[in-house]
Amino acid sequence: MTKPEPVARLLRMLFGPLVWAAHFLLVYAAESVFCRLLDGPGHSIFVITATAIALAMVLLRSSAAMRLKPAASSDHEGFLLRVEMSLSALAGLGILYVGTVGALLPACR
Amino acid sequence: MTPIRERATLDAAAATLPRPEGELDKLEAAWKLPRGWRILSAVNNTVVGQFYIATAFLFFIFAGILGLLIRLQLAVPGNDFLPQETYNQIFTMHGTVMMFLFAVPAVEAAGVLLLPQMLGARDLPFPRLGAFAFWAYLIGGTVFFCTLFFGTAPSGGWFMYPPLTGAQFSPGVGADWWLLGIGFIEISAIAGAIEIIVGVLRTRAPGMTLARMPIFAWSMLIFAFMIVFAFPAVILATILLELERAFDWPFFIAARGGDPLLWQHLFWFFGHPEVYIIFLPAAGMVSMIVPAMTGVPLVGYRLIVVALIAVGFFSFGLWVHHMFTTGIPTRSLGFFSAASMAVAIPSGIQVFAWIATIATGRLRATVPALFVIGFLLIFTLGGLTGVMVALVPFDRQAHDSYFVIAHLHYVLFGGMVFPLLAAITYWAPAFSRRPLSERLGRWAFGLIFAGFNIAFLPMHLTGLLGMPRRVYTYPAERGWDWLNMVSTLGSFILAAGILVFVFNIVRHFRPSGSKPAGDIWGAGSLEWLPNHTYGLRSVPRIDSREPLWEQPGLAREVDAGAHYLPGTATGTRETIVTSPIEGEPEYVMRLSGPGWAHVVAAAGTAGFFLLLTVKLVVPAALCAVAAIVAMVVWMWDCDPPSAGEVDIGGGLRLPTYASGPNSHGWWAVAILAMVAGALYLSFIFSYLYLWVVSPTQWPGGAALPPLASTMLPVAALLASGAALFAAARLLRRERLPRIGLAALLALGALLAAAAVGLDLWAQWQAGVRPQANGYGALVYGHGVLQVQIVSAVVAVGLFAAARSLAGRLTAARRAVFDNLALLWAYALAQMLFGLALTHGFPRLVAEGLPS
Ligand code: HEM
Ligand SMILES: [Cu+2]
Repeated sequence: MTKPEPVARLLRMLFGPLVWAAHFLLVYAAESVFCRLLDGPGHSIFVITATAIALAMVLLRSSAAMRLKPAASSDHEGFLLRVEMSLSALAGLGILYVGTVGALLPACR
Repeated sequence: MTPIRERATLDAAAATLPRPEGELDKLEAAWKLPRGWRILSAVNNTVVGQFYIATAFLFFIFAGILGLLIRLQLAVPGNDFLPQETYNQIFTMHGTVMMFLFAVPAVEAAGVLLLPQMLGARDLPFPRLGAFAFWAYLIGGTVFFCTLFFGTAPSGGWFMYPPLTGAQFSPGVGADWWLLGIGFIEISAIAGAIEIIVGVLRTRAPGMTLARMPIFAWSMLIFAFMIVFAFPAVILATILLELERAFDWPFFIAARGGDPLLWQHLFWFFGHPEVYIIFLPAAGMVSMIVPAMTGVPLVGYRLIVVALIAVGFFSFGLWVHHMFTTGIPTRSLGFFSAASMAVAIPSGIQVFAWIATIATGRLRATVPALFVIGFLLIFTLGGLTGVMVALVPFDRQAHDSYFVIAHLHYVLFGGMVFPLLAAITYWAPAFSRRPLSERLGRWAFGLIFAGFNIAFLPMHLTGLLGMPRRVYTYPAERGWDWLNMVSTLGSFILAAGILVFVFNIVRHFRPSGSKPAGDIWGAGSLEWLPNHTYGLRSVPRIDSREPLWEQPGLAREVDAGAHYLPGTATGTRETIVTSPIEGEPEYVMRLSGPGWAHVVAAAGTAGFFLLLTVKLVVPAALCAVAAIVAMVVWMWDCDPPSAGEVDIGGGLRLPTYASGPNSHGWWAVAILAMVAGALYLSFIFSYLYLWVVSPTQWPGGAALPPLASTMLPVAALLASGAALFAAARLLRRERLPRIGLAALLALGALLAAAAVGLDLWAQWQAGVRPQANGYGALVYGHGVLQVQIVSAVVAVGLFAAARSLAGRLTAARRAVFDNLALLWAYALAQMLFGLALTHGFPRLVAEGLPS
């Protein structure tokens, strides 16, 4: 039996928060770029798309984790999976917060 | 190789009893503490940890006295007790010392003191590094504090905003003290963080999977990772501001293409996580104390882990909430306001988990429990006002008023000082022959709790009535006077409580390495097993979260030597290295003992930074030389050759040597590379930020160094990489050409340095000057970062070359090379990227992006 690479395993556990961080950085940084380059609703569309993609990623990954759960070979593996799913849920909520607020407020002002 | 398979055959006892005669004596001899004043050369985590905590507490008292001086000055309107400039220095030092010299070191100290005990390790993985961090902090911090007595302390507030702190408005040496002194202490904090990460992930008792790790260890793990990613931002900021002050490179001067707001971004990218860096370990302490005081396991262990990790992430998305009033676009503010709300959820999870635990069991009203309750009440209030100021419209009203002072003390004092006082009372019996007095503890708690609220509750009102923070006095007719008087009275009640607490420690705390009072609370975690200078006599296999509750008789067995590693297998200090997730034993690592080299190194480094501040260049250089020599002496013996496989009991035979990706040293270097990466990312952010703010200063094609000028540096970097590669091939040979290997290492490292020099030369040739504008400053600021990383490669490269010549670097004994290779590869990547950034980006944006 091969042991899973531990660092990779821990990073997998952090998938949700990592997506949250990437999403946050992207929508925030994109505002100054969009506002500099073009007028119009560019940034709003960007925020909505990015939010949808980020949420989809987190959801897909969690459902994959959900399917793995019954097969978790040991109690710590089960623990890591459950931590991963709860983190994804929190991260999803965070993404939703940021995305909604971002899309509702006026850009570039 | 992995001895995991044998596990099934083990039950409770791993080693046969009784243990052979002389085994214990050898163990004691290996871990013997230096006697008398030589104790200062000790590296045992228990000794260094206690020094560390005591020092941090001393700074708490000093900074607290400054707080009292502030309160005295503000007690009545129009007071002239303190002149304005002195007042400014005092509040700046109060905030700075509390945050950097008390709060962070105190929790780091708690980690150093408690983690090995709690994890069943004999010590932390890099004892001398931990001691180095402590000494650097003690010396640097003391000198920094003493500037106050000479009237040369910084006075620009604890967050040091330019332009106020730039050379024009703060011409004195005060700001430099802050920049170099604090920058230096942050480096020591990072050293501690590396030690803690590797310790928590790699030196746990066998069987202590991540799912069974004490919450305090989880919180320290996340704390340390947050330091790794947050501190580099402020280190970069201090480097840039110091370059601006010393050499007039205008990073933060708006009129010359810089931007003062860049400082605020960098500072708060560190500063907000900082408050959680302080709070998370405190929360971890509470999560240990609550189960012990209620007698039931923590409710929601997994949710608390989730909450800690989530806070660790979310807290990096909040920094702009300190900048709501700086004119940032509305939508951006919205992002940060939303994230500030989101972070309240995981904090709330923790509070509810504690309350649920208290509700499940029966809380014994001991002193630690009282402080925990005080913490819950005060911190929750602070959290509520935090959500208030996270709302942009409210913050516009409350910003820079005493409302904020009230809020920040409710979270910091409530969220960190109360848990710390609880922790000191709670863990004292693990290290002292006598526990602290309950009676005195109750008095202390009562006075502190009452005094705190009398002092700080009125400040909410004072703030809402419009009193700004950082004013040295105020007129009588504003209606602020009675509120201020009440605050001052309260602060003295609070101080009386602290005095009682200190008196309690002085009267009752008697450090003892061999016979501490022990488990007086009936707690469940490993630090309550009988502890000695060498930690546990033998290391048990763990199969639950509260081993002391689940495995009766454990204390006796452990102390009789019935478990793993009941003596010293190699005759020196050692601890078991385990796998990061499952906690399965992988190898036995030998630890270094007491010495003076790391003390000299700390003094030298501190001297270098401090003397540089007052522009005593020659003595500073001498200190640097002393530090480097001391470090070489210290490191020279750090990689002992393998002692073969050893038996640690229970049929488990482990290697005594490891190098490469599985070894503790490699992990430390990997984390160091993350620090460097975070520093570099902060730089990229600054570069892009100034470009967004004033893109016109980015030169077009003609003013840039020609693309051809990058050929030489790139060639040098590639050659350097080739040398590294060749050295790796050579090292695999049985019969090693020592001189050839040494030459390759030295040459390769110097080639990388040459690349940096060549590139900077090309920029200079093209007429780019650091003083000219923000762009020029960035180009050379970038050079400073590259010089920094390449100097590290050169230093370690020459060190490895010397070891090769001395026959200490061979195919079997190669940890130094493997660690160097990681650092080197990282440095090459950063330098190649840097060339692309500084030559490519200006060309990219010159291609016709509108500006
Ligand atoms: C011993 C009890 C304490 C008292 C009486 C006290 C009092 C004060 C007062 C009155 C101010 C406002 C000064 C001004 O704006 O003019 C202040 C600022 C501050 N305090 Fe405290 N404090 C205490 C403990 C703490 C603790 C434990 C911490 C952190 C762990 C802390 C961190 C700060 C910070 C960061 C500032 C802001 C400094 C600045 O504006 O640059 N204080 N304190
Ligand atoms: Cu904040």
